[in-house]
Amino acid sequence: MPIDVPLMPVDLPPFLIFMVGAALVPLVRGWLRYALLLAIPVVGAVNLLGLEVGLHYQLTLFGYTLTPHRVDRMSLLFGYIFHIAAFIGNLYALHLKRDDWDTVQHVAAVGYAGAALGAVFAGDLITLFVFWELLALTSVFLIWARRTPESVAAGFRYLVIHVVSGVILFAGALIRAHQTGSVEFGFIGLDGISGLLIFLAFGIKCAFPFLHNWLTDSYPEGTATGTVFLSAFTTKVAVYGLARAFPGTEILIYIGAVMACFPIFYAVIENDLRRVLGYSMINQIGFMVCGIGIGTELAVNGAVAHAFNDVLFKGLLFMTMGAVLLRTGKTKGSELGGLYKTMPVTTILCMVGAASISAFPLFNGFVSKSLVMSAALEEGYPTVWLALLFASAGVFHHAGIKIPFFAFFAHDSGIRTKEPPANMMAAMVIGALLCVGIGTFPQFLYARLPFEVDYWPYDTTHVLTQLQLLFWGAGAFTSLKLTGLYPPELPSVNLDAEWSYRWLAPRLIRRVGGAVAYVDIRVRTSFLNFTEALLFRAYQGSGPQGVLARTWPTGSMLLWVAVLLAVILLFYYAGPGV
Amino acid sequence: MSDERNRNPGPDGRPGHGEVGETPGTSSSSRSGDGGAHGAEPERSERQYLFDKPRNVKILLWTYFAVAVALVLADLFVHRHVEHPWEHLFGFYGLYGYVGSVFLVLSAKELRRVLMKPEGFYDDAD
Repeated sequence: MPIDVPLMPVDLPPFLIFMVGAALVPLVRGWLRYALLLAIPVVGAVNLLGLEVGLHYQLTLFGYTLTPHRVDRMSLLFGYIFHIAAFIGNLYALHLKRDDWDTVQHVAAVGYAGAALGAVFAGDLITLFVFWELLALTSVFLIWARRTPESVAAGFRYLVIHVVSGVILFAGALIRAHQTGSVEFGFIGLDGISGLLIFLAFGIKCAFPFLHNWLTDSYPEGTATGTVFLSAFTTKVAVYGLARAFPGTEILIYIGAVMACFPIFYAVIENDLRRVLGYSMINQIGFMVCGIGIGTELAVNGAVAHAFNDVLFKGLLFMTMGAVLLRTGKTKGSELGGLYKTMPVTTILCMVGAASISAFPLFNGFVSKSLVMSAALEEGYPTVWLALLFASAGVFHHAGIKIPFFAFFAHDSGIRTKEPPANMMAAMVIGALLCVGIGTFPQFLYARLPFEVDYWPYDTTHVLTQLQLLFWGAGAFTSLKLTGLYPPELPSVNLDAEWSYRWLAPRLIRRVGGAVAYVDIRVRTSFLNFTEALLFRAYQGSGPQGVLARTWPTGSMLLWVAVLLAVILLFYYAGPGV
Repeated sequence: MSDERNRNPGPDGRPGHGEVGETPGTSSSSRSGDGGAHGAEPERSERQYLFDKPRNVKILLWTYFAVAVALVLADLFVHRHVEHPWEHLFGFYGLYGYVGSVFLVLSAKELRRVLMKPEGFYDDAD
């Protein structure tokens, strides 16, 4: 069936290496497992660097052309970062060897990375759908592996929402195939029901407002190492999908601006620091979505570059919080503090991640976020630009200051612990080096963006204004803290859109179910009463004592027969024939 | 880099907070000095850490204030090429950053009245 034979037989689809690797992981133990986990992304990267641009391994199914392996600049960029993320993540999780659940985590993580790679190299919607669902099915084990009641429940909610997103994507793909005769995964746009369905499916995975709570619900419940993987792949695949199918869709600009702004309010009052990072993640995706909505080459470059960088700095931040979780068993701001005393290296690495996400000059967030900001101004969206500027100050506030401050400084919690194991430390150091490296030498990233870049972030104006914004944003924190106005970290739950399905829906179902049950029992009881009465009547008539069922003595029967015969005789003789 | 980031710990290291010579704990070694680049204080035997000394916190805060003020004053000397009219304003970015952040924190604090529920709020619904 293949109609396009690849040039090199070694030109493998990247997902294949990971899927085969995932199958091999449980077969080996000890050092072999370590070697295998690290070798998978390395072998993948060697293969990736040799990939030929083009459409490969095409085949025809039910008259539709499937393209499971499409290589171009956009898919390659996400391919690079997913390989980097898989390597860092596997290194970070290398020490897991306690029980079978740790093996499950290794397998799930490698398979998850493979699914993400399959999705970004998918050239058609059907292949995309398959990997879309695989993303959910593999990653949910990284949540369940925590094995707390909360993580099991959160994992199920996560799974349901993502499977639904996949089903919506599939429905959109089928309608589109029917209407256009093609399942190609290219520009789609919002025209027609199929476009809307695919947009919604992407929106769920991308954590659009009101569809975002699966992220803040499940990521804090994942294992210390699992959440690092979770933060790298799912949402970035969705961003990739939007950049592919909906660039220049204006509504995305406003969705992105809302995404950049509203989560920071939650992040300020949220106590669980990994949930703070979850909200901060939505905030960062907002910048990407906004860039895709603007849709110019500069803006889309900015969006995908920011996705690339977000994998690094958000991964680094989740890794430092994972280290805190591993060593202290806590991630709540109200229970932590003073850890810099015994985890100084982790503290510094966390601050590197914080500086990167806050877009300090020389850190990688700066070189990608500014592309989007500049595009917003250039294309005439000053209000959106102001919103993004506010969000930039806000992200510094909640991710840049709050995360390191409440975990490592603040009031001394009295916890004395130690640095995480060497493999986790090494993974964090690599992440931090990449953050600084890309921030300092952005040309290496710019050279790999989908469109040619004619932009340089390091000019006096830009550096100065960014530093002013950040320093005075920090001034707000300092002054509010010194005056005691800063809201304290409190053990709490903050209501969000999830209230609708975690609080309202169960109660509604209980209410409605209760009402239905009440009506049901009344109807059935009265029917039963009716039939019982009916039966009683029938019983009275034809029961053992009833008139109809009485046993008559033989004598009276004979008498009656004789009477009947006599009547017949009477009629006979009195008849007209006589 | 550490100049910019290290001011974070400042405010909470106020006197009265960092108990000197607290529980010896199980801490591994005397590496506490790593926490900051400037004003790093060599550690004592009673395990006093970097920001346990109010003096260090003060140094940090004052360094931060100096840099912040210098950054705004730089507006006087640097010619900025700008796109948006507001950007022309003296100290616009600093002001926007400060006001925006104060607004963010105080309104989030108010939002707690509506949004905050006790932990385990969803548990009985599940």
